[in-house]
This record gives sequence, structure tokens and C-alpha cells, in this order.
Amino acid sequence: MASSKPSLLDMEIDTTQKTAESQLQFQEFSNIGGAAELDVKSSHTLTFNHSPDTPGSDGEGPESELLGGGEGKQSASFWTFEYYQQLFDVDTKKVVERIVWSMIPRPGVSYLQHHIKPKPDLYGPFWICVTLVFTIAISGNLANYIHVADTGKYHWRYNFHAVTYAATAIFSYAWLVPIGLWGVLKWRGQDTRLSFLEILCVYGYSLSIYVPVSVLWVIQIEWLQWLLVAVGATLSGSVLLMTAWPAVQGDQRCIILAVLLGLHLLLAAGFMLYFFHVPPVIDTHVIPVPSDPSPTQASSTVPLPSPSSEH
Amino acid sequence: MYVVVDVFLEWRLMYDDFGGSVEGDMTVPNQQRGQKQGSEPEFNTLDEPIRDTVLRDLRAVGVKFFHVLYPKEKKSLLKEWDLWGPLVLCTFMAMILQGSTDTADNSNDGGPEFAEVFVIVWIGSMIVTLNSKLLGGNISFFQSVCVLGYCLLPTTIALIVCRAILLMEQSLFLFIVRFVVTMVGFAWATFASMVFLGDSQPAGRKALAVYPMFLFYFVISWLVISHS
Repeated sequence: MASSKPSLLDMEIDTTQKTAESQLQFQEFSNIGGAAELDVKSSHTLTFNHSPDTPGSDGEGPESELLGGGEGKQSASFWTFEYYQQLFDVDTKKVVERIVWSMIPRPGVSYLQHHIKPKPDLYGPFWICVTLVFTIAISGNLANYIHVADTGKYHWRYNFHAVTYAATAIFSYAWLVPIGLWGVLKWRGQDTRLSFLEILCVYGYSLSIYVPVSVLWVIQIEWLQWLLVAVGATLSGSVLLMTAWPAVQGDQRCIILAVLLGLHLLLAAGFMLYFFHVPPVIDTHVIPVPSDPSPTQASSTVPLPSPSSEH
Repeated sequence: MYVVVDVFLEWRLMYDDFGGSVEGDMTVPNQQRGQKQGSEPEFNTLDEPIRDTVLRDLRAVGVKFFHVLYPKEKKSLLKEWDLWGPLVLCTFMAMILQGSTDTADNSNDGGPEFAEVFVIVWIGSMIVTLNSKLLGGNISFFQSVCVLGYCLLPTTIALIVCRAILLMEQSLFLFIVRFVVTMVGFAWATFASMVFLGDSQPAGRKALAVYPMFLFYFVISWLVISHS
């Protein structure tokens, strides 16, 4: 639709030039009009060619280039829509499969070779990160709410900005650690086995176990929370390590893998401590409870009516 | 003036020659609408009163709202997109949902700021749309943004109900009522957007495209239920 506008503009310019001379230029116009129509038609067919063909046809072309993990090939079509389309070329079954096997380590079966290798996608990593951001923020708030409700009053304030913190933490983890790992591999000259996209994909899927875990963290039993941290980090961390094991060679292998596992564990422990443990501390000084022996009269009278009358 | 008339003349000539293939987008934006109503293809929006023009657009927005509340026809929202409805809904929600962060200690209810709600709605619907385009959906960008925006209507109604409930003295029962209302709004919004957009995906990817919509309305419903 929009493509017919430039041709119209051209014609208008032409008309202003030519009608000043004489009316006999009508013939010219039909010619120009024909050209314009051709343009319109060709652009239409172009757009048609772009959209439906790409999901199928990309399977052979650029996909196979990606297989080798070549960074150089990406620059060829990096700015086109089709480049990103091939990163989202997955089916529901495939995504579910990848999510499930990122949680369950199977000895002897490489997660990378069996599930990721043909086509690393970015659909899973992206939406797993987004889901994780919101499940952590929401269930963190829910844990806080349960704690407040225990004290017998239903006046509770939610903390929207948990979303911001969770998003910062998760997206920087899912980006920076793969970049770091890829950089180390590249620096050591071993980047041939793992492409950056594969690392990114594996890391994104490895976060998926924290989605159910973060829902279960709502249960405010301390040993259970720590158990969940340990189980979650161990399960997905071992899948990660088994993926990275063949790619990292040399004498520093153990150090690199230990750092990776440590970061994974640290992320889980950080989530748990920050979003699910701190709220009790915050809420005692954000919401002064009247039954508390300590607060003065001023602090107990001020906060209660203000938020509801604020709007 | 002479030149303009002349352009129209030329245009008429071309129009005769090439029929419907070129005449789609002229400089008059309401031309298509006029033709769809069945009137002859003359530029009737130029000399009609402004009131008619505004009322027609308002009516189009109202019809779309109705279709969201009663999602039966699949193609009804997809025919012509506009962003007026989403703008109104989004601004309204952002106005109600914004927290008061100015006084840091006591009346800070921890809610999002106006701009944050605004950004979540617009950027969120754009990301969801981009996702379905990347998955290979055959739907134009703004059509999808339009549908996602209009489908916010049930959650907005839930927000209004919750706001009315919040005027009363709070109890656990009223919280449950708010929860149920919000969940109904959420389910309704997700269902409506699924009806309108679900078919645009290739088979085997429908769940992948629907899941982000689900997440989008879930987050907004969370904001609604948490607003107190």
C-alpha cells in the first residue's frame, strides 16, 4: 500500500513541471503511469516473496552457514529481518523438548549435540528470561504478601520495581556470561566447537529451571528454599557443564568450569536471598505494624490512611 | 490551483486506465473507508462536516471495543487498524495504576510510574508482535499491535471494578472478589486476542505465539490486582 505513494509523488512533481508547458503531455503521463503501476506491482510481489518464503527457504541457506558458527557470515545479513527470523525458526515441540532436557542431565548424551546443534534459536532464551523476570517479581511480591498477611493486616504494598532489578540481573547474566565464555574460548583459540549463538541458547534454556523454582520459593520454609537453590543450580548447572566440557580444553578447564558453575549457583542464591528473603526485613520498616512494641505514635498514625486517599 | 486540478485530471485518466490496482492510496486518507461503505468512489470526506468525520472514527473505535467484548467474528478487528483505542486504554490504565513515589517514606505504595505502565503496554505489545512476525505469522505489524491494544479492554474493566471495590473497607473477602474479577479479565483478554491472532501462525507454532500474549496480559493483570 505504502509503496504506491512514492510513485504518486513522482507523478505530482512531473505534473507540476509539465502542465506548465502544455496539456498535450497527457501521453507522457500514461507512460509514466504505466511505469508507476509496474513499480507498484513489482514491489507487491517482492513483499509477497519475502514473507511466506523465508521460514521454509532459510532452512537450507543461511542456516547451514550458521552451523559452522561463523561470525563472519552473520554480518552479511545481520541487519535484515530474515536474519532474525531464522533465529526464531522453531516449533512448539522442539522448544518443549529443549526446555525439558535443559533441566534433566543425562550422562553420555550431549544436550548440545542432541537438541541445540542443528538450529540454535533465540525464542526460548528470550521468553524464558522474560518469564523468569516476571515470575521472580510476582512470586517475590507474593512471598512478601504472605508474610504481611501473617501479621493479620491486609494493608500491603507491592513492589513493582522488583521487575526492574530482576530484569537487570537476568538479562545481564544471560548476555554477559555467554559473552565472557565465548571470549575466553576465542582467546584460547578453541571457539571452533561452540558458536556464540549456541552458548547463548544453552544459557537461556538453562535458566528455565528457575521458573518453577521461583514459584516454589514462595513457600517460606528456609531449608526448603536452600534445597531448591541447590537442586536447581545442580541440575541445570550440570547440563551446562556437560555442554561446555568438550569445548574447553587444556589445564585451566577445571577453573573455567568451576567459575561457570559458581556463577550459576550464585545467581540462584542471589535471587533467593534478595527477592524471597529480604522482604521481611524491608516490610518491617516500610510498614510499621501497630502491634509492634517499638513504634512511636507519630509513625503509627501517618502511614495507614495516606496510600488509599492518595488517588 | 490549476496544477492541483490538473493532477486530479491526470489521476482520473489513470484511474480509468488501470482500474483498482493503483487507486488504493490517494492523498485522502478516508477514501478507502468511504468506498467500503458502499458509496461511489468520490472524495466525499472533503466537504463533509468535521463532526461526521469524528463521529465516524469514534464509531469505528466503539465497534472494535464491542468486538473485543464479544469475540465472535475473527476478522472484525483485523480489517482496519487504528491505535486510538489502545491509546485511550493505555493512558487510562497508566493514570490509575501509577504509584505515588514522590514521598519516599510512607505513602510510597511501590507502584509503577505512569511512564513505566505506558512503556510496558506499548513496548510489550510491540515485542509480542515482533515475536509473532519472527515466528512467521502473516499479519501486519500494526494490525497486531492494534488487536493487542484493544484486547486490553477486559483488563481495564477489571481495573475499574477493582478501583471501585478499593473504595470500601478492605477485607479478605473483597480481596478474593478482586482476584476473581482480575482473573476473569485476564482470561477474557487472552481468549479474545487468541481468537483474533491465533490463526495467523503456521501450524505447530500457535502455542509459541500465544504464550507471549498470555504473559503480556498476565503481567498487566498482576499490576491490576496488586494496585491497592
